[in-house]
Amino acid sequence: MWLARWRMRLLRDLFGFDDEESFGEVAVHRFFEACVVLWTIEHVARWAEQLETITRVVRPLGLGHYIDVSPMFGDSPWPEVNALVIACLLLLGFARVSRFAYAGALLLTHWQYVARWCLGKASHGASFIGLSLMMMALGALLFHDRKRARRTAMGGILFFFGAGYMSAAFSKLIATGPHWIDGYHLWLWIGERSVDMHSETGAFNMGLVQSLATRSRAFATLLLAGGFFAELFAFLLWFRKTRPFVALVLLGMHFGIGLAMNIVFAYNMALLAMAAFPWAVLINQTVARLDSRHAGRLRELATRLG
Amino acid sequence: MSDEGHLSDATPASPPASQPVPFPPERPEGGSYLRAGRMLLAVLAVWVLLVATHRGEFWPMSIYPMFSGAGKPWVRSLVRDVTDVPNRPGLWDVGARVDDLPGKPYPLARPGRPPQNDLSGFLKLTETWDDQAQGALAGLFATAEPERRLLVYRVDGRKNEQGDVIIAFRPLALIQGGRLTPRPGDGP
Repeated sequence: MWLARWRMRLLRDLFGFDDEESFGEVAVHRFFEACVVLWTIEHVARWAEQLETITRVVRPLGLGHYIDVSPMFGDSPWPEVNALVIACLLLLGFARVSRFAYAGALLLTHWQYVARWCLGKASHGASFIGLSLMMMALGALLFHDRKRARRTAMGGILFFFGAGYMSAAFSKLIATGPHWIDGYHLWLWIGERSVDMHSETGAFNMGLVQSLATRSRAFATLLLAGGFFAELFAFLLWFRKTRPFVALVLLGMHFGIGLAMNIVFAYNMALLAMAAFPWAVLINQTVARLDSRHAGRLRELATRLG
Repeated sequence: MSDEGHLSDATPASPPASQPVPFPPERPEGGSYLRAGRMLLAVLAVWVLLVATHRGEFWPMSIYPMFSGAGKPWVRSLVRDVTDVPNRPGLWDVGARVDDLPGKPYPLARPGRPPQNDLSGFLKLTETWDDQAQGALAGLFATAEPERRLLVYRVDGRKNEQGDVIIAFRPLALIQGGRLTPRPGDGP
């Protein structure tokens, strides 16, 4: 019985199909969707440009294990063509012209990704964009009704954001063990990042947090432990009551990574902040204060855009 | 949530938290919950299957293994602009500090230059430096300034027994105008 209750609570907190739809919710969902569409187009266009200098597969990824990606290399027009098709499909999906458009865009974006990142380093900078697109595609495929499709997508996004962070914590436990949080490890990574910064910008100036971390093993351990536990408890993103607090902790972790390691996952952070905080409530409260004529127009607009 | 913001009142409100919560399909919208829940489980199963069989990565699915192997040696890359440095045997010496390396910095985060992660990944995973590998390395600089003479370093980092970080800068190849000159003797 308790399992059924827990399962129902999880599903309700993620999807909230029983809740009444509001202008704020539609506005937030559509803004989130627009960001995913625009940022996907930005990424596939950038990857197309970067594919010009790639001539060899060092480590295949995804479908690149089974299909030769080399036609995407060098002077080939295919990366640009693929980026253009992806952009068209995304716009069709956003305009609700086709329920299959996002799924097609996801498949082609995967192809662009595996061609671009075949040199040994799998980038995670666009992971949340891809996860969001995947859930938008599944939401549209699963439900004809726009409201349910959007809520399915947003619930799935929150679920897999949380699962992704937890997976990162378990990866650390499996690859290293509980002593992953030992501050000595951060010293080695700060050394690595100092080389990266030299290589990328021509200079490296140690920041305050890096300076403190390299002077105090205890402080470095505290930083790593904070990051590790933030990831481990990321499943609390699944529940409405804990969601904003956990999101705040995870964003704090990202800022900490930025200060300690000079690594910023800007897109992932922006999507997390958009999905996890109760922006819809704030918007609804603001709309409620507006003149009723304007509020009515906004609601009408949301219904059409939803 | 404000009443002003509501778009529709088609669905009834949820029962209070104190009441027993019926599971679908008795609950209003129960079918939707069931469908969405099954979708989550299916995606989770596909996720586990794909990452388990593809070394942890099947974009956008991943186990997010970044920095999971703590304390292990790492390999990165660095490029120096040695256009104004005369060709002398010392050019190929292994360095321990970036300030002691010949030439001047060549920042990669500029248009036309290879991204640091690409170059590092390529140097780390390339085991045999045959003609094809050397051509691919030169290809990464195909859109870089052809007049510049660039020295590509493989940078190895590790921790010694005292916990200090030891870094070694090992020059691999000179690149200019798309042509690659390997390290004398053993090549890259």
